[in-house]
Amino acid sequence: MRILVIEDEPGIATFLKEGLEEETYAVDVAYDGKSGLSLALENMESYDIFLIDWMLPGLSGLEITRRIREVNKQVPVIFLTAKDTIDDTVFALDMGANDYIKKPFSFDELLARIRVQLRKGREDATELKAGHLVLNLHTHEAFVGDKEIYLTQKEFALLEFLLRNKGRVCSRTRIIQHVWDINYDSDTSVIDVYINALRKKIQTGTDEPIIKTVRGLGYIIKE
Amino acid sequence: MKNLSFNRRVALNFMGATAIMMLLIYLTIYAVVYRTVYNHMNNDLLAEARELREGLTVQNDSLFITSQREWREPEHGLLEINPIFIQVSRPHGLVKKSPNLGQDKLYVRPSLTEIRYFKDTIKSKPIYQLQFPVTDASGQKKGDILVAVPLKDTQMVLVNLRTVLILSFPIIIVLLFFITNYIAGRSIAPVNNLMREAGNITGKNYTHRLPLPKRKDELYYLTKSINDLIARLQEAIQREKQFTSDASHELRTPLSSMKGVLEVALRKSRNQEYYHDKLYILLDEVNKMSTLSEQLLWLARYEQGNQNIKQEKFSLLEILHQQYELLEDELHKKSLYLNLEFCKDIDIMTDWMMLNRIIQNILTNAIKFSPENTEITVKTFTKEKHAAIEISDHGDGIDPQELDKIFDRFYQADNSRSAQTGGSGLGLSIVKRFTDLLGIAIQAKSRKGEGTSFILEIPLTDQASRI
Repeated sequence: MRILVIEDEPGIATFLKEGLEEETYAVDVAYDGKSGLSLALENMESYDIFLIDWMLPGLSGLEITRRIREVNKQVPVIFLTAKDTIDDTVFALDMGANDYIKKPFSFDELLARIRVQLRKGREDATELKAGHLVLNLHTHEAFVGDKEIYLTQKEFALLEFLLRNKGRVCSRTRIIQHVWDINYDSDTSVIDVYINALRKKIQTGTDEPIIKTVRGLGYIIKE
Repeated sequence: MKNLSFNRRVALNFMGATAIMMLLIYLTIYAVVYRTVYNHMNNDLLAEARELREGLTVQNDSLFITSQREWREPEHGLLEINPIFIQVSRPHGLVKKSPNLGQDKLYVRPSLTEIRYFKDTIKSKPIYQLQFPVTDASGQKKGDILVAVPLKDTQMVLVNLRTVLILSFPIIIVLLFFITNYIAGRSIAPVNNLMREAGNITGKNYTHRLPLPKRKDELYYLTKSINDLIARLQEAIQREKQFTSDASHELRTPLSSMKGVLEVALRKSRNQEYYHDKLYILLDEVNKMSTLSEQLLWLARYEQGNQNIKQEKFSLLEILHQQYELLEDELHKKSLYLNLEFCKDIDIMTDWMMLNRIIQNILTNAIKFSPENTEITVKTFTKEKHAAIEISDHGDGIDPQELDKIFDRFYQADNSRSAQTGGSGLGLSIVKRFTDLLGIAIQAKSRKGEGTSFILEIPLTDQASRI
């Protein structure tokens, strides 16, 4: 899952990026309104959620939200702001934000709210399953049958992405877009390396492989 | 009276005043009519008496009627039409009386020695009578001439007049009360409207304005001043709101950052280097917060007025050199050159600490907005009993329309906060507050792309100036 954070306070932006990356999200940061908006518009398909500060130099968070909504009505937008009146909250939500978190906020609450936004319109669960494989999005634990397996952050993120798109072929480009952040060059061969590592960890004996390769297209986890 | 409505009170007051005035006018009218009527009768009676006297002779203590001409006039014979009764008496008896008296006699007051008028009755009808004493050549009284007219008509005129006046008085007063009440009610109606409208203006709804009346009368100007007052209040409330909102934003931002850094750090165990990094970030945020709280304190301390101002005499150059030492590191970081070559030493008399803070804030600002490797120039000079300090940078400058906002609390050059330059936006508002308190004129000049200058003009007292 890839997140765009638009936040001008370097202190806040830094801990958001670090903390979210530890939670297996791919995170891009823009420090002002204009670059934030252009990043959002250029990579609209890649981002699964936007975290936007209200007061930004150049372009306000409200304006960015409005512009994002012009091209994409679905993508979740969460407002982070020190404005705290009910009027402000109502205004922001009316302008197209999906949620509104007041500063200073608890990081756990932010994570929960991001999960809520990502869960919406999809399976309403904190667990993703395929055969014997169970992925708990809350605790970041993975099980094959009763046995817990240990995944790196990127492995977990990759597996989560494939499971969320269960039954659909995920192209390497799409995987790069949603699992890796913008600082990665688009060398998709890195995916094959991670897929191999994943297969080793989740495969049990003689069963049919969980992650299948679709030649020329990408990877798929079937029902 | 206290709880009466405005229109009632106007009506009552007006009624009272009119009642007193009407009473005076009525009394005057009555008195004038009364006097006129009786004067007229007096004159008639006197003329009649004088004519009769001419037809009389006094001889040997007796009165003789020498001319009968007067006695033959019809008004003395008839009773029906405007009769005039006449009678001539001796001290102990009647000489002659007019026929219209019939059996009756006019009453004589024997001791009377001068002309007098009486009210009397004859045949139980009121008459008005003149007694005219007749004297001989030596002044001795020999008898009286009596002339009288019926009073009935005159009295009727006066009674009628009195009735009309007495009856009309309460009717006019009551009518007047209702008319005034109505008119006052109508004139007060716009005020009542105003009251209702003003009642609609609440803390939440202060954007509402009272509708201006069409006529430019007192009410128009009252409404206008109320509207102006509301506008000023709105502005003050807005400023206060903005300040609270800005202050809370400025305090929350570093707090959010600290809270987030700490929460993320505590999610798992980390290595030494990580903690080291994070502690530096936290220290940075703590510094930001302490600067902000210090500045808020500076503002608050001098919010109430000037009780803390100390006037001292000191050298301007000394302050500038001190500031230079204080800011040397920051100047060095951006390779800026602080040019003090055009500084004259001027002795001034003002609050040392506050002026120091003013110059420091302006210089810090200049450093913040100067591109690297540029010069910040400080000039001091005297100008018409003022010591002037001009501090110029070569930064981006400020838009002319933004220039008058730079002294607002929490104003920052971009409409949203700019994290790159840092700062709270309180620096210049402290400068403005302090210059106001010290009587220093401050002026900001700027050209987009060329830089900004701040000019301070400190008033010089005679003892302090030395060029």
